[in-house]
Amino acid sequence: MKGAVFIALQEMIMEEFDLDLWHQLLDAAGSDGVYTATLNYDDQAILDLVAALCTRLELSREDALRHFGRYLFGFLHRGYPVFADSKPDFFDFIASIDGVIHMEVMKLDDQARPPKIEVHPHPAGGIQLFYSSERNLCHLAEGLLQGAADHFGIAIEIEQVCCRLQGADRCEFRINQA
Amino acid sequence: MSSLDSYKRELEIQRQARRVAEAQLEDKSRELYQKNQALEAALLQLKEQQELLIAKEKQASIGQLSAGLAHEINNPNAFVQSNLESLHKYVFQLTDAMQVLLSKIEDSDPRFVNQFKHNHDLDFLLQDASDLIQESVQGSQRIQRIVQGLRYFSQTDQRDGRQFDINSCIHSTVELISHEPELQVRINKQLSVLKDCEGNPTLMSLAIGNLLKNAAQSHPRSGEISIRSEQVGQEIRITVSDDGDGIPLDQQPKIFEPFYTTRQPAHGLGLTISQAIVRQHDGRIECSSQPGQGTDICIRLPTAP
Repeated sequence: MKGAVFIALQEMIMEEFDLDLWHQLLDAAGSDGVYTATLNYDDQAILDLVAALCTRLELSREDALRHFGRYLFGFLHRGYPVFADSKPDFFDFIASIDGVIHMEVMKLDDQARPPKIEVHPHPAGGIQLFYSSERNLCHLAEGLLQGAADHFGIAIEIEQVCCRLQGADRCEFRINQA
Repeated sequence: MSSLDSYKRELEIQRQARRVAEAQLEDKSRELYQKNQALEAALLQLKEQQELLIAKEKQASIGQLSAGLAHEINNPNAFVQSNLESLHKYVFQLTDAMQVLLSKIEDSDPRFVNQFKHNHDLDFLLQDASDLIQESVQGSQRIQRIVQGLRYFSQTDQRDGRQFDINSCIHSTVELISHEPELQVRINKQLSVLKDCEGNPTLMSLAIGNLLKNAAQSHPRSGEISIRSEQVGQEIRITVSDDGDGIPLDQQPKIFEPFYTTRQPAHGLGLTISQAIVRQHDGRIECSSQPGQGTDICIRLPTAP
């Protein structure tokens, strides 16, 4: 996992709570807290921090990841605004995640393992989004989608049809504009 | 509310993170520098390859033109030369016949013969006709040599793929050139151990010989020219140097052009032929000259794979 994600988590904790809580999470997760944006860190470290956050605030893992994902979109957009700014709307932006954003990530870091995102129009309206990742962070992805919708100023409804954590080959979301 | 201790701890974390980031930046900068160096080297190599390709295309075009010209010139020149030689013989025979005839008449009327010779400027005509024909034959022979020179451009790849030692070419060429009476210079050889080169040793000897002749005709002050061979990585370099006239700066770009010469009656194809042969061997030929101080011509050839 990229260091930028750890830094975003720290920023969120410090904005919404305080530095003490962040240090408590580091202690609970056994981390020294030294993260730089472009280095890769063990995936388990972010899960341990989220688990510590859930314990402290009595949140479910799913809710914590959704909340963080929503925050993470704004954090990443501040650092790399071109990806969202170059798209006219939410749906165009979502369609460009795999072919543009993840491709750019891979250009800069061939060790990166971004999730596979597949987007199709749904016959009943809206879009169908398939998420595959060995990290199984579909709830974080859901939060990121909400963050993107916030950015484009629309309200969306996300329904997770199936999940890898429950035995599916990949996670599937149906997304409609509310 | 965060305590002072928390801020101190965070400060230490951030300092460590900064050190990690700086180390990463340094690594990336070094990596970037090395990649940039590699890119620049690749770009240079590409440019060289591009120049070589353009040169080969030019040579192919010159080759086609040369082949056509050589054919068109050779045939009429052959019969002109043959006719001139016959004509020369006929003039001798006519002169002899006239001498016989005039000597017969001279016995009975010497005054008439003298008057006849004088009125028709006969002695001058006979002598001048012979000289004119002789000059024409020489001119025709020169045309023949130029056309022979053009043959080296009309065959774009005359290599036979044989591996050979350039030093052997140098030895045999120097030996051959040394017997040419008009080349009154010593040739100093400085030869290093070389890897083999692939191609045609006869052609390469011709290319080297042209460089040596050119250097010998540059009026070297020391009365000596030198030829040096060296192995530089995978490249063989043969440098012919003289301390003669040198080449004026504005003339240097033209020296490999066909028919460029500053010395008459040279046909101006020697260096052009050398360049064509070197290019056929995937090599390059470069000139470095200081007017009044001398010239270095360097052949750079790849070693055999």
